[in-house]
Amino acid sequence: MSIKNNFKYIRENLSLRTIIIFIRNFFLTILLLSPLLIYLGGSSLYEISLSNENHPFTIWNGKNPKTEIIITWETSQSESSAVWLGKESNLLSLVYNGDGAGVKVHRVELNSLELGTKYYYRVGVNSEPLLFHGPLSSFTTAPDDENKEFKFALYSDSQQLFGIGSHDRIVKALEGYNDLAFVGNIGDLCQEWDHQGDWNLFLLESRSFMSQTIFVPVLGNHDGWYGESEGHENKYKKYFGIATDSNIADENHTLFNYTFSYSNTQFIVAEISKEEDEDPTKIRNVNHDIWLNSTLANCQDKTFRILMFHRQVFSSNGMNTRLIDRIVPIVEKYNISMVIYGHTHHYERFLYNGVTYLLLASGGVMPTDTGINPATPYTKSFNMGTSYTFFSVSTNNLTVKTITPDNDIIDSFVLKAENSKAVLLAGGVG
Amino acid sequence: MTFINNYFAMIYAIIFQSVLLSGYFFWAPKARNPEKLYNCWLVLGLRGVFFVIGCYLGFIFLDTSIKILFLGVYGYGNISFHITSCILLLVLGIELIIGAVFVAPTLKSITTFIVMLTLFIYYFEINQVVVHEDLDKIFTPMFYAIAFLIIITLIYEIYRKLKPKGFEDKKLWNFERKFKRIFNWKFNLILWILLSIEIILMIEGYSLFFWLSYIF
Repeated sequence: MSIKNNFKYIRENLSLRTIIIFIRNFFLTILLLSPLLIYLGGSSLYEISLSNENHPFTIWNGKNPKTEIIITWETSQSESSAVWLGKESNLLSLVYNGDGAGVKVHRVELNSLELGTKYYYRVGVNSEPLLFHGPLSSFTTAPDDENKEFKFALYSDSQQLFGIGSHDRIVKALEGYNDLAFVGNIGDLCQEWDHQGDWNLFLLESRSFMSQTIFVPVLGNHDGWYGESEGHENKYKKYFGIATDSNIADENHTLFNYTFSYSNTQFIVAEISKEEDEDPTKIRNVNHDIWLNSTLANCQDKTFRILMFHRQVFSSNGMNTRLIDRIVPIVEKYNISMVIYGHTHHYERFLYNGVTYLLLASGGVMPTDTGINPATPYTKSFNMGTSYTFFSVSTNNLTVKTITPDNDIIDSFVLKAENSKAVLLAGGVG
Repeated sequence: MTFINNYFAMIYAIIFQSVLLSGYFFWAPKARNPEKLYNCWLVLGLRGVFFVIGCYLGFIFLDTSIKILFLGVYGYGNISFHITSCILLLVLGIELIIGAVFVAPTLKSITTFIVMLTLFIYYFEINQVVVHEDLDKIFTPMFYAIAFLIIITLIYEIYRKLKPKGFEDKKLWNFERKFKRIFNWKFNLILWILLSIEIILMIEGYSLFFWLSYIF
């Protein structure tokens, strides 16, 4: 049939009715996908509808955990800030009263706190009558005792694309612990660094554990520092502030890396979040590694040293050779006990040259690691699905369990401190 | 041992199952009726491409579910979370491969199947290039198989013209009626409902069988 005849055939058979049936069938086909579309649309609308009233939470962000804390909260209207604090929940006294200058994001630094003490606090406006925001909350300062046992929990990649995901399940599971020294998120807290709805959802879902313990944030590539412009405010900076002495105009220094010491363990939060952060020759990264080397050199007296940053080193979803070349020599030089990161959306544990590397990126995100090859020579455990990791630190042992919100144990292992190193004592796949 | 994770496999499954059901209900009404067959070459051509896609997705679904359920690539710590999706993928994978190839195969369709299976094994088991940086390669074997189907069809048509005396690619066997009775629209509608519920539950951190964790 010639092209001319083809057109003739189409003209003769293409009636208005055929076109209507085609359009009808097309929309009916779309309708079959409607459960997913309604789910996505509903979640997005819910996220957008959330208000900017965010309850108070506490961070250290480079402060001394023994005596200092930063309390942050957000109000929808500009207000002055006030904090009431006490060791008894019913005996709070005003410890901070703002000078009246109204702000929406309130950040109050408290100093001279007592070591190893549980504090209760409320925030609001010191007006008549008193105006409180959020519930009665609490935090506990780090102990003076270098051998005091403590527990903490970590997860990573809680980012909720279109507001969907299982971060709320992790938060619900964390509610069951009332003795955590802190809860950390190893980056990609939210999907979009400048989308207020994403951050409102994250802070809303995290309220229950944030009101009980201290939050340790790590910068991820989705939270990353991409500068700011009109209408594009960096929300990580908005809520957690800059942790280093650098200012935002300084392109040669990182902004969000910090370190803190808790009992016998030194935690180092590095800023390795974006792809360009992998490049060891970039001045910004060179300066970062000078800080990293000096920080690690200064904490060699600690039993355990835990390095945390967002971007993956080893992963069954793609080995990061540039970062392996950059980070592994530092890890081995300073006897780092464990390296913890996220980014590629699954759980995986590696043992490389005697050092444990933990990939914790199952913190509620939809797993986007489409193609997986869980067969690296260093993989000791691999899993997909929502999970968080619970750590228990004693004088010489570091016990780690990765758990699902339904309390299934995915992986557990123990590291023992031996001659400045952390040796894998026992480990098994759940 | 490369595989597509069960979340993504479920997303492919629900999209394909929606298209399959829309074919049943709206686009290809003859597909519902075991007595009726299509003869138009354009419909048959599109059906051939659709079958290649279905068969390839069938490979992916079977591969994922077998590796999770029987080879334990995730371990079995939270198998109660993965078991529903794996069973659904297993059922759909079997339906797609049987429906696309083994219901009424010809020499041509069996040859295309063997070529596609070889490509799949090469990409997923031998070369193992399907990782984060090479996501585009997930469907490369499928595109090669479609190209192969077009080439083999052209060769067949040319050969048929040259050998007009009764040459045709005969069906080696035909279970079409039986297949359409078992995997009928009711079966596929139930499968579609289960897939829709399960993928939403999975994203939210649940599963239809998550309660097994509290029993065992």
